[in-house]
Amino acid sequence: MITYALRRLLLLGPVLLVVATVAWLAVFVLPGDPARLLAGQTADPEVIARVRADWGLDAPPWVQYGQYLSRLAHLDLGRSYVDRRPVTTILLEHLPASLVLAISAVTLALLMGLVCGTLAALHRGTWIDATVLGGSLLGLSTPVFWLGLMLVLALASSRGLGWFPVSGYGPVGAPSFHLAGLPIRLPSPANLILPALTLALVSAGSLARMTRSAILDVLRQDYIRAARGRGLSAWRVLGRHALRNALIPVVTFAGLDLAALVGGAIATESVFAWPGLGKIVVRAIHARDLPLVEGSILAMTTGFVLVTLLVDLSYGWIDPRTRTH
Amino acid sequence: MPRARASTSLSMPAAVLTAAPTGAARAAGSVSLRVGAILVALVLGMALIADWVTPYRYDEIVTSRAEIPPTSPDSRHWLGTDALGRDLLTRVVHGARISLEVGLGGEFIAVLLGMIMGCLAGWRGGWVDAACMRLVDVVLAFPVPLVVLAVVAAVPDAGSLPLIGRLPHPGIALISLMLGLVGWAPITRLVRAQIMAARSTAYTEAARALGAGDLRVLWHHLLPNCLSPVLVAATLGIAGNMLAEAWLSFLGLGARPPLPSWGSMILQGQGQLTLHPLVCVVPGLALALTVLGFNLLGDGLRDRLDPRLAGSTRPGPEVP
Repeated sequence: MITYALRRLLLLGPVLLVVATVAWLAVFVLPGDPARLLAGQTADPEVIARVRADWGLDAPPWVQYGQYLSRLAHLDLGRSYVDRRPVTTILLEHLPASLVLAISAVTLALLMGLVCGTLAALHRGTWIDATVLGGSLLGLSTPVFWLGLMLVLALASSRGLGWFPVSGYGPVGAPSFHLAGLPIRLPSPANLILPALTLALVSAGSLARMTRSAILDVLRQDYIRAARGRGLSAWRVLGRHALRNALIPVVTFAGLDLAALVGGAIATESVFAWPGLGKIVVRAIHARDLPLVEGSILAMTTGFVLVTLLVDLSYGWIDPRTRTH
Repeated sequence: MPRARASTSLSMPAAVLTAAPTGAARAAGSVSLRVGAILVALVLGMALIADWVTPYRYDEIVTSRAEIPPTSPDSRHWLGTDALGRDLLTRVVHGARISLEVGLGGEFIAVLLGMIMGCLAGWRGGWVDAACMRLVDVVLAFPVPLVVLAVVAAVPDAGSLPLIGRLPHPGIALISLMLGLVGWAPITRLVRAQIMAARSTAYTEAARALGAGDLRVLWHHLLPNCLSPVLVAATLGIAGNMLAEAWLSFLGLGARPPLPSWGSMILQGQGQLTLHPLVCVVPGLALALTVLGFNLLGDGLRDRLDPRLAGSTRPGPEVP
């Protein structure tokens, strides 16, 4: 288990290096001159030259690459070209919104997926099973951003029911607090519901399918028959023996599905004008704000790899058998 | 493989543990295969005859000066026009081509790479296998959407690239290439496992004893074993590629205007969602049905071709 965790941690290095390099290459492949971008289109050649020197853009590529990597090692992601503030600050400002959305969506998805999957497995072959399987396939096939827009049309727009705000994070005066010197503003619940539901529905489909087949597999095992034979009630068998064992592949799968969740979150933030990291990265790509693009993609990749690692390590907690291996 | 229904004779409430009627599940499998095949055939047909479905071009502005687009459906434009006054039906039909280009193109690259790497790893074994599998580990550790974003940010103009720039849709080709380059890893695992299992079978040894060389054994005896699972994975992969392209285009980073990608059409329709929902609803519906078709086809094929796989989740039909 420990060697496995260490191997996974070692993998973090090359993954981050490759992503950092691809993100950095942007500077040299882009047709626009970053110095001109910074100085403004009408700037004098002298001004552009000074900007180039100021931002270290006149050094040879490999020197810049070296500088870039050494800055990364010090967690310095550079300054945004557009609003000239440190990238780290901008990312930290938008991180809470993304975290709130991701945590609510995953909780919601797990709830819906586990409940529906269990129900489908217990009522295998009935209309409940068929509904869950059909619904999950629809969820898997529907593009998340379109689903979000359809939810807006049906539940938020003036043409639909108009129950929820169409987009945004809630009023500015909403409750906020400071965590480690960082101001954190929570979204208003009404604003959170639709984005969280959108993001959750996509993962819920695959989670439900996974839970269903995992429970079906577990229910066939001899120890379930033994537990029933010892006189345990059906619910006790389900809760203590079946669900706990079925959870292992489900959690593995939730880990694998993280990539889809990241992609879905970026699209969802775009649909609902949610002020998170996804919104930032798309805006930065459009504005050619290269340090911000590099920084946000790197930060999200790091988060992704770390969460994958945590999910992997959680097997040991859920399934004691894997601890010794 | 023994049917695991034997242990299901316990009585739990609410029909728990009772074996599902195999016939019903089998019927469901063949229904999904049929519905999937019909949907996929419809999309392929739509892409083939896209030029003749309507009298308009996808980038042609068809509204008169007096009309303010987007216009509502009428007898000339069955779905109305989009925000720039182009016929919506024409654009949606042409969208099938873009979606299929990325879906099939990306998956072709992924399958090709995956088969080569999987054969190498499974056949050679030893350090070649170890190296291939570590590479697979690294590729699978990448969050695909973020890598794709990084590449798109790095190459804002695919037309300036060598080779790709000469293709009719350089941006679309770049996206296909990227999806292929990140999509081969799971195929490699599949092929490797199949090759390893088939390598030590009696028929492989017989072929070798008869003097067949490595390539002949691989091509005639081992690869045919991999085709079913690869076909299933590829069908599902096509659906994933289509969703990925639409996702990028929706973020404004995929197909360039005026290309009628379903994703960019949804993006353009977002602004008029309340007043002219059709502009947004129809391309999304087309995309969802197409992806659903490929997903159903993949599921149905799995049940049909690989009863062992199907048996772990649901009883599949017995294949002769």
